[in-house]
Amino acid sequence: MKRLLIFFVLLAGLSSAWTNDALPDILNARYEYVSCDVNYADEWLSMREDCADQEEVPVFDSSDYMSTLEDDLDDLKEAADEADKFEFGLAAVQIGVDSLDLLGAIFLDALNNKTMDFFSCVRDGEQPLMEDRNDCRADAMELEREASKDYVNNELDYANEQIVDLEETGADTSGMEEIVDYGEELIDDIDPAFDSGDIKEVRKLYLRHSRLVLLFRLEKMHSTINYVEPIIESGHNDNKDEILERGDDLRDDVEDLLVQCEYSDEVDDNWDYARDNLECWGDSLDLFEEFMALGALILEGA
Amino acid sequence: MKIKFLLLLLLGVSFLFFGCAKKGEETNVTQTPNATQNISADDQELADLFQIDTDRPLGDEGLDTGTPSSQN
Repeated sequence: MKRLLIFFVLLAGLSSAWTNDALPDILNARYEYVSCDVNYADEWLSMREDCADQEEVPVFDSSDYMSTLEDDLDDLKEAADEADKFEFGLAAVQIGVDSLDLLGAIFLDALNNKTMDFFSCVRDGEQPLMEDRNDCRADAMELEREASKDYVNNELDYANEQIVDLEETGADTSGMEEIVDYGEELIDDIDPAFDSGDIKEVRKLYLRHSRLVLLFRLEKMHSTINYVEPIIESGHNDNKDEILERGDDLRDDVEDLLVQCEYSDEVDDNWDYARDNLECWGDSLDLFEEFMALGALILEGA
Repeated sequence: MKIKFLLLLLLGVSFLFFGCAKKGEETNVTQTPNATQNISADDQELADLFQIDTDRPLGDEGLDTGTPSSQN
């Protein structure tokens, strides 16, 4: 019965998880950006077919590819409207996969009985389409610029709330505060990155942001364990010994990960930084689980 | 004889009174938390601190969708 109660307490904690009010805006801005690319692909294929008619060369039937991309785009829109970050991520990945599929088909088709005049026609025809696409992307990026500022500001407010809550208990929150300082610097870097017009610069912001969110959570776990340990030690919890032992192990693991995933605002290579982020998040999942299990263990031994 | 009985009765009542008072004192001592316990949160409050968001933040999904060009 007690375990069942603990389960429901943890479940209630998960279901009341914080959501960022700026998430719908940022997802819709991102949807606009992706739709620029899909619309461009559609127009580019039509232009290519016109060139094939004009130069009397065969082209493959791209209608199935475009139909798939349109369906993907609908899924993306639905996820954005529902502010479902997880589904949005899946739909975005699917669009990436299906776009690559289309690019592969175009590459193979280019090897099939084409003339130099055909290629020249496509090269000339795509210039205005690319300009339109770039204008479309720039408009979407403007939406994303403002939404991302709100998004990070909301996160900082939430982070500060968590710091205040822990501080009130007497815990040392200096590690968490340091991450918030980095977050404020990140906001200052949003305008220059978007002003550059280089999507790689914008991606750097997201990579840094992802790392900071992870480090804040690690610091929070570290502060909590340090605060709770002496209280448990002087108390009479039935699971006292196990809580202390597992808490000690978890703190060691958190400290190791804090070193391994140390923050840097310099992103020399997006792929390297992204790979490190993936590794850091992967390693942290077990630690999050163990952290929550410690809370359940305290309740169980109360 | 009557006086002796009354004195014994008074003595008994006194013992009872002081005995109860003494017992009450001891109870209060054991029930009063010491300084450390005063600043400690209880187990429920401690367990509440062990909540953490586990979902990953929004990344750069969709920003790198491949688009066709004559270079393809």
